Amino acid sequence: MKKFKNKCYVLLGMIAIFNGAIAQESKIAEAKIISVSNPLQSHGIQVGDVLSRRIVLEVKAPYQLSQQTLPMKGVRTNDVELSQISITKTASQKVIRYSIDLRYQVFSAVFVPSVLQLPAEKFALTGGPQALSVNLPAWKFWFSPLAPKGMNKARENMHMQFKPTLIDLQAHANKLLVFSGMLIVGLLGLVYINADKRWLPFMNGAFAKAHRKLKKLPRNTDGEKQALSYMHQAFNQLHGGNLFANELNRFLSKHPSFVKLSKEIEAFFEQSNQSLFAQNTQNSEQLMADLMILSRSLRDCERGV
Amino acid sequence: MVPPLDHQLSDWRNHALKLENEVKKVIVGQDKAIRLMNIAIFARGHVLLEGGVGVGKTTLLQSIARCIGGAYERIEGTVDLMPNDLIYHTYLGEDGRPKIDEGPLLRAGENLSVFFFNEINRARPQVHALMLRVMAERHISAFKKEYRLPHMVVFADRNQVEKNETFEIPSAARDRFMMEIPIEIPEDRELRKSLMFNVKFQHAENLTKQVESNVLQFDQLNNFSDILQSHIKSSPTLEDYAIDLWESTQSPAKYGIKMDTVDVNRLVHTGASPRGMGMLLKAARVNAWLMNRDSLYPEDIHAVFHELIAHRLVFNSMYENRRTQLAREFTTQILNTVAVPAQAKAA
Repeated sequence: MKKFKNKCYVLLGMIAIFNGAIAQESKIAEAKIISVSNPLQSHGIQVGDVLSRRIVLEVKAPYQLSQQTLPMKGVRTNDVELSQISITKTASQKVIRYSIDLRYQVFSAVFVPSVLQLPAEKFALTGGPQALSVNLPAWKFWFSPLAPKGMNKARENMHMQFKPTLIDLQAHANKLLVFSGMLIVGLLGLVYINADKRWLPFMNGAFAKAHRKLKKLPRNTDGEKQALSYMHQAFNQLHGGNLFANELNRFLSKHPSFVKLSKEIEAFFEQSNQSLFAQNTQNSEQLMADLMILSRSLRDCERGV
Repeated sequence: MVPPLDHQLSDWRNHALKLENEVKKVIVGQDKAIRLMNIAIFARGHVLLEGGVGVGKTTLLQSIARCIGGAYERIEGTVDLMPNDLIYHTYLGEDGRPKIDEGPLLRAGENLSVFFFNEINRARPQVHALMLRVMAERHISAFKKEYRLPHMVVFADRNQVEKNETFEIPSAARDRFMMEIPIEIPEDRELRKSLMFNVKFQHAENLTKQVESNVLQFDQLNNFSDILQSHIKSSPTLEDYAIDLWESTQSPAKYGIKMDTVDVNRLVHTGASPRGMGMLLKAARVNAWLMNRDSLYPEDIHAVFHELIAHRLVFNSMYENRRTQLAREFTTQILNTVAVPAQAKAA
């Protein structure tokens, strides 16, 4: 309970200080300023700007606000002109509450930033035995000029308009071009290596054809004979005439890209002779698989891969 | 006791290769001709040698004859040579009375293994006719009896350059020869130098004596040849190929054969004969055997194709004077164009 009382005293003390502050402004008991609302921004104010203030007063009866002594609309004080004043009155039995809206417009023509102020106003009260008044303090703000001092002609202050500098993208463009080229070449290479179709140039070589045909053959004795025929046709086509085992050296000297497969080619001719002429039974399935590998390798040689 | 077949084949092959090596000791730069003559010996075919003067034809034949063993007889073709000069000759005996003796063809009887007819194109057609009959039948009737010449092979040569006082051998006569082998001067410069400066080549007679004699048993060649021919097999693919080759000599355009200088349709009058193709396969089998195989490969046919076929082709008369060159080009084109396995079947 004691604590509660202490808190109440502190609160009352604070209220007393607050009232004292307001009383300091009004300095009378018959009227008091309830609130003063100033513009939110006190800097960057430029010529022509309109600033508003609102003051709310409470006046005890029998006093009331004197209408004749209100600030005059159009009065200019230090380049700040009162452009509008409006009063709203709310009356009760004992007090009258006034809400006064003041609108000022700044007409200063100075060329340097300077401190101006909304002027202090005085509101007189009538109706009572004493001549009382309520003072509204001045409100200072920074005025920002629109133009620098000494500007005579606009031309002197004109600057040449430069086109904004563009960011240099050439290096990126070059990189993009190079990488795109590499990508395309790589893709073409992959297609060239792996594709069986003939929709790219140089893809219709003798061994490419043979490889395509071999893939369609059955894995039996008939297929084996046919596969050997296709392979021989491919060799003959590339050689420009019939190619036999005893002419392999001449063939390889004419087509050096096949040299790395010389052993495989020799083995092929031997297998072919065995199958076609010696009639030795061979494992057709295995032979066909070998021929598939060989034809693919020869196709790669043919394409220079 | 007859040795097993494998041993026979192997032993005879060793003998055949030895014959080649022996002849190569004294004849340089003619390896291919020596191999072809070896093939002809084992295929029991007669050989026509074609080449210029002094290229070593006679030395080659004498060397081979020495290796084969048996009797060797020789006669020179001349414009006045008559058939009876081959059969007998007449002379005055010691008693002053005329006598008749057997000629070079009959003198050795069944031991005759090599009969060398030098410059056969200088002899008259009558002589050709007799020789062709003997070559085909290997027997002849004379002195009221029949002379058999079962082991005889005829080696003849002709000089293609010289045309005076010569008689062109008719196509039927050429067909009796299994091969016509060109003997050319070696192109290798070192070989030529050796032929010029090595004194061992100065005396051909001494040269042939360096060759080992009787490397082969001439009287067993016929039997072994039959064994060899039965042993070497040919596949259907190869038989088709041989047929294609034959037909291509008759209808070259059908097989797409083209030549640079002449129209093939006008070039060939008559292609190879059935006898010629039979001989081709016979010689090819010998080649397969020499290569230690028991199956015929296309390469075996190629090894003997030109020498077996070229002289059998009958060209239209306007091309006859360029026969040697055109025949070589034609046979080369055939081998280069006719595919095996045939493309039509492969496609």
